[in-house]
Amino acid sequence: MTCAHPGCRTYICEDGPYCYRHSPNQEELQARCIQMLLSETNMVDFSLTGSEFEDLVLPKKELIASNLAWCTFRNVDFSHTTLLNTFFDFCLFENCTFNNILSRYAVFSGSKMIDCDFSGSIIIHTNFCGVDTFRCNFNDCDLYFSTFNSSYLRDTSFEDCNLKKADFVHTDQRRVSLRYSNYEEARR
Amino acid sequence: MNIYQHFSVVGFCNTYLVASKKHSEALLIDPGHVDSELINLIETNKYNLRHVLLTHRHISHMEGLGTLKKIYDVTVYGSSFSSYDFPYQSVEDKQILNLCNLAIEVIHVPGHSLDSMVFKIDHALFTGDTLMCGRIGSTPGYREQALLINSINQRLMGLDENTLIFPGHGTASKIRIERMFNHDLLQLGTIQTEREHWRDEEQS
Repeated sequence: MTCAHPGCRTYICEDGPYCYRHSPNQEELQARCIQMLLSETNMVDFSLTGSEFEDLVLPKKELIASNLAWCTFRNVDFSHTTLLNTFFDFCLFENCTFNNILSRYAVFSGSKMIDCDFSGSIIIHTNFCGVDTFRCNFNDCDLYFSTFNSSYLRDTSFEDCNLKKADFVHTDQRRVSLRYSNYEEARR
Repeated sequence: MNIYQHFSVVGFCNTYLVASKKHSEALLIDPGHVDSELINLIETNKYNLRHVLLTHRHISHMEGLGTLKKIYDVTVYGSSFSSYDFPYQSVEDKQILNLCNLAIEVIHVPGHSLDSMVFKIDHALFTGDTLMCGRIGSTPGYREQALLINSINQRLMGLDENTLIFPGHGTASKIRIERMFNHDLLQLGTIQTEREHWRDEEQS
């Protein structure tokens, strides 16, 4: 379902006819979303686009089939979470931690990532198409079948990663370290 | 609508189990390989598998059909441009199928193969090998590639930018993402513009 506001095609929030941007009670929606993110129950089929989140530490939980596109995350700790089919496209991630996460079929495409740490994670079938990374760390990650094409990678390290079937076609890499990773098995 | 993804290392194909939220009937798209994980996915969710949709006639997208038909009584839907050696219902471009309480729009997008079909269910596109994350499907030659890019631009790129893309291989995506970052499609944009205006330039 898309937003009832004329011309808006964004998906609606979990209840009500409007997306977050056109919702009359944005604060309440954001507070509920933060509460859901911080609770230990899994977050399934939740949609909230264009919101801002700061200084959160998520517990070990699953985010499934949810839509958090166009959001801003500052100093948010996603460590040990499971991201299945969750959309974080066109987001801004600043100083966020994704240590030991399991990500399958998640989408981070078009996002900007500054000082983010994904190390030690299983990130398979995940879409990083068109991301801009700056000082990010993907060390010791399984990036099987993940896509980084058309992305700008700056001061980012992919050391000791599984890059089998990962896609680095049309990436612009500056100061990127791929030591001990099987870059030869990636598409490039 | 509920969508479950299944990936098999045999053929590296994504298989999708789709069902409406309120009904137990379900359909499968591209059963590339049927293993216990896929059967468990169907059974643990208590789905009654009724239909199978094939995006195109390539073995990596339909190899599991034999096993599947031994377990479930399914009706198979395949493109009217191809022929199969088993009973199936043929589907045509712009046809609307009403299966499992879902309206499924059939979109013919030739190029990867002449029988390639894309299935649109609500806001989700199941593109098979036609359009994948950041790239288009492989083609045997440049003519087929041009045909594929043109078909994608004409039939898919005009859809709503929030439409989700579930391809036969690789990661999920959205129409907006492909419009912005798919180099194969961006290349054509330039070529098309040049072709559209070459007469104007000659006259001037």
